[in-house]
Amino acid sequence: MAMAAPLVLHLLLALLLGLGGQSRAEPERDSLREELVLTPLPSGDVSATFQFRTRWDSELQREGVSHYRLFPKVLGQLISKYSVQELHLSLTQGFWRTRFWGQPFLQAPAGAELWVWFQNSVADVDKSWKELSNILSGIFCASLNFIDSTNTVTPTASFKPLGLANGTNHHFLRYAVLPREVVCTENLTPWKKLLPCSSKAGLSVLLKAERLFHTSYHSQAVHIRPVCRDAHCVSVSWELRQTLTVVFDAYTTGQGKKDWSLFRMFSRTITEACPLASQSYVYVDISRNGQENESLEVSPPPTSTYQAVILGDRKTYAVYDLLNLATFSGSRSLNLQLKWRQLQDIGSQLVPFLHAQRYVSGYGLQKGELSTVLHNTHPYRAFPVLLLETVPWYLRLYVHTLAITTKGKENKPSYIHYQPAQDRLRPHLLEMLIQLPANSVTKVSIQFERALLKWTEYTPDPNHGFYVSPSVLSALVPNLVGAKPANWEESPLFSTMFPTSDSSSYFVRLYTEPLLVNLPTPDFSMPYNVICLTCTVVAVCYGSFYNLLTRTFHLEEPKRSRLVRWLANIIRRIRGVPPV
Amino acid sequence: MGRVDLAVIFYGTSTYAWGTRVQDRCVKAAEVTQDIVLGLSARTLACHLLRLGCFTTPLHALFWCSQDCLPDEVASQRLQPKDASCSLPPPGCLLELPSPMECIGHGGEQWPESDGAEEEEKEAELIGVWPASVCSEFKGRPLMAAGSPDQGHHRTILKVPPFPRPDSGYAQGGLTTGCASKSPGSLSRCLAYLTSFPSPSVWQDQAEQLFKSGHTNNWAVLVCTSRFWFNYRHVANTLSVYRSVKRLGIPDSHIVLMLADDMACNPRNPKPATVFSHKNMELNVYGDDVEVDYRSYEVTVENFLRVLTGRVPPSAPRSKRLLSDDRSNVLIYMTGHGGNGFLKFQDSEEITNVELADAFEQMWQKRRYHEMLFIIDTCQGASMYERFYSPNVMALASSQVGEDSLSHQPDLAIGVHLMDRYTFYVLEFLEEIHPASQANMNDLFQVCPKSLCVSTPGHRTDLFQRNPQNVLITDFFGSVRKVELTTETVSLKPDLSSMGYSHLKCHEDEELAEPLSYAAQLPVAQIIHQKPKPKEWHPPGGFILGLWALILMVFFKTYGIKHMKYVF
Repeated sequence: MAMAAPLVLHLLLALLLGLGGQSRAEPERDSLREELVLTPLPSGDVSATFQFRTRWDSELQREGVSHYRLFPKVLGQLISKYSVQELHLSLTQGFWRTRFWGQPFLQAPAGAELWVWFQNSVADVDKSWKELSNILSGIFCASLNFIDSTNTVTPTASFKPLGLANGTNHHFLRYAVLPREVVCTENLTPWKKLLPCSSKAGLSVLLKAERLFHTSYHSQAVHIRPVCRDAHCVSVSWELRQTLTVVFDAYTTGQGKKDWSLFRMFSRTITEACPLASQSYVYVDISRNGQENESLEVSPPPTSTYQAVILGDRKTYAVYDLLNLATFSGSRSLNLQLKWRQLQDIGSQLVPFLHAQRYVSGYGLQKGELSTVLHNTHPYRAFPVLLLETVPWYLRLYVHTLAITTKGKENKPSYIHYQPAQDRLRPHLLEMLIQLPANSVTKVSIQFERALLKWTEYTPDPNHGFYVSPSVLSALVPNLVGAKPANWEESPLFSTMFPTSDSSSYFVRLYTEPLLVNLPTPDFSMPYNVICLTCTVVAVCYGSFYNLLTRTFHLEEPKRSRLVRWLANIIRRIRGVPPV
Repeated sequence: MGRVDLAVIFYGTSTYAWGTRVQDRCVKAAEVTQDIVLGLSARTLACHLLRLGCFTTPLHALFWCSQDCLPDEVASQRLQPKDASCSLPPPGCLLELPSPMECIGHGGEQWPESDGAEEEEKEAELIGVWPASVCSEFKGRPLMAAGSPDQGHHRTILKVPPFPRPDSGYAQGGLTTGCASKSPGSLSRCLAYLTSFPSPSVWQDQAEQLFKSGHTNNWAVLVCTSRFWFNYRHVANTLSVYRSVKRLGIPDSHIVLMLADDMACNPRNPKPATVFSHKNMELNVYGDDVEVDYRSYEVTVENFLRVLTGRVPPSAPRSKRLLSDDRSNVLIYMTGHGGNGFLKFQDSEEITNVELADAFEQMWQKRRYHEMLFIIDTCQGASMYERFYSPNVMALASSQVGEDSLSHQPDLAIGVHLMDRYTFYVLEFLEEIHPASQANMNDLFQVCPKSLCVSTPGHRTDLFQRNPQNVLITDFFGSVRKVELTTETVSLKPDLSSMGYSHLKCHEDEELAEPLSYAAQLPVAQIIHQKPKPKEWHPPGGFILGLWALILMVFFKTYGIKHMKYVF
């Protein structure tokens, strides 16, 4: 009883406080951070990565959560209804050229990519997956409803959950890529509507379709995952991360100069932070690899700089805090500009330690070969790469031709998982863990045969070809400099995409190019031609034959008049021929 | 309470009732932040809520009206707020709730299964539909979130003029006749209906204006059936109609837009994310907030007919459904390459005029439209509507049978034509239309004379009940709701028992005992030693060895060593 009394009092107090308004009784349970990272790329392009993170200290999985503030209700309902543990969706146009642009914070394959971890409690994962992709297709105006068993795989070793997970049973994972998917304004519109500030205030005012799609690479993504609520990590918060990465070709549009400004890229400037955001930063990468610092100039001068080990290398960022009014001092708007003092030689760039390319070879329409070339440019360290290949069923792989060669010698993978395709049911799945020796090029090749489709299975434009989704490379790339484990909540968003475990290496996931394969395409007007031809043949041959068979022939006495016969007989008599 | 027929108040940050649809399965009392008051197809909404049992807790939803008073027991049991301090308008005028039996038999309405991810009501939709003054009040999530609970409840009540109930007979042909034809009981109700207003004549004028069209919501299905870059003009056609209907107030959730190819982000488009209707590039018909529901390979005859007839798979999202009812005016616009009696889809299949006519008949039988306007811009377009036989369909076509429909505006920059002639002039006409304009269908018939179009546009009105002269353009192209705004406020106190304090209470015990951790992204050792696939059961090696030993022992015991030579 003595225990119960304070509890009752406590409850009563809570209720009384709640009467005045719940926010006074309780601190906000959700927060928003927005961030823009501008990185001048070695090739002269500029990449801009927007990240909007909504964190919600709530149990979304429980039914009955209905009070939504910053977290979009659409996605919240989705998580609770389908018991989603983690959801990652990206829609991408273009290809991130790792060789020339360096490692991305987070790459995405061309087209649409969706991977979802379901909770252990889900009984029929495939059904949930199908329904979930259908609903996402409605939310994001994308053709995700084309995700079915023929393009879904369950990777056994790749795509480990990015968020908190106790035990990872890959049976609850589904992964699909639609390489054909076009990304345009209609996908951006619903994505922007999920943002708490929509596109009205804050960094999102820069998101104008006519600029964002006039780029070499455009990738927008939604990541939902559970994260630690605090340092003890005993309870879960939900994190929604909306990222958008674009690469502007500043070099060509700037008449050979690599200078850029926000206004030139987005045709807009930043005027304020999103009023709902608790943090709003713009970072500009001003680190120069081994060059003197005076080579570039950022204006307005930053109030502070941030130094950290990002993607294995020490980087320096100029930081602009949009919530700090001093950032906008002088002018109403922030138009960041970067000028190069001296022209940098494009050739002397640092090639990233890991990059890959993929191509299809062979001639004719029957056989071919898929090749993936993996480069490890690290001078002295080998590292493992997990390669995942998904090949549609209509390319029949010859598994015995699988060859992995490094420096002319066979490289035996330490783990291999192959799931053969079934016609019209499921694709091939090939996962391999390959050790890449230092400073080496590894080639993974496999031959295939093209299957014939039924004529209704061809797309309306079959001569365009059929896409093969890109290979996925997951790797632990060694760091150039040692990194200290940083506090997640305090470090910028771009550095906390993947959970880090050790300080000597960092995790990257790279995608190769999607492939376009021509399948033997029938002449679709052939049935009509055949019908016309057969009809003609039937009409001519069968018709005349039928005519012959059904007609009876008999001789008919010519009927002539008596006068004619008499005249003819006279003539015959004269000729000496018997009369008729 | 003047002329309020029905007002529904929902509490919630992001739960809305919109039109005849209820977003959430049952509006939870816990979601108290904002009220949205609207009144549309009262019966449908009430039926649905009743079926879901939403009237059991106070302050879920409030319906009230000034004309029909609720039977007392319903008023007291279901809708009266239990909280005495809640100052509500007198409870005498609450909506007549339909009995559950009535609901079952009610119309061809179908409530889609709540799919958990009901699309949130879009800001643009609100802006598109409500007058600008209302928009500033309901400006989507940011404002809502900014003005969250501690600022007190933000209340605005919209007074909604009475809408006809579908079966009351008011809808068609004026008021008095509708009343007179009914039974004495309903007549008296009608009288009450009339007398509750300050001046019947004033009201009658308004009512006549309001009921002239007889619809309560608008839907549009806009289809471009052509793939490939050289058919740029067909996409531009469809988008220009999309732009017009959106501008005139049909929200994106009520537009099903089908585009067979992507022109805006096509690599051949020199200005990505734009589709222009004119060479001078004034009007980007693609806009900055387009939502395409069916695109590229999804645009098939099958999907089109499924959308029309409502036979979509159960997991289809709301944006891909035509959720119209028997009070909906539906606009169907199609463009593509056609011939006498057919329209090609994606260069690989066709829909014939007979199939289309049958689909419309099915829609009519399933009460999926009230009136329909069909517009087609294709060669020999008139052949597509000549087989129609369902009532209340008006049809327009760009060309007669035997005529081609011609393109317009060749653009050297992109190398193809920008638009078709007929739609170009239709767009020019629609750009002049605003939500209050009185232009009627006869004006639309005159839009593109032969001198401009080269082809002869045709129209068919014999199936349509009303005189085209009385049919406003905005009856189909717009979604003009007669909404009146008052500044009268009602202060309601949140219901504490169901305010979602469960979070607070069970916050402590929610915590897990052991700390969670992030998964290693590339656990090399774990991957290498991953268990191989479980094989079918096999007896362990020791067991088999033992068995053989036993057999041998039994053998030697029986025959002894001397018989060994017979064995080998």
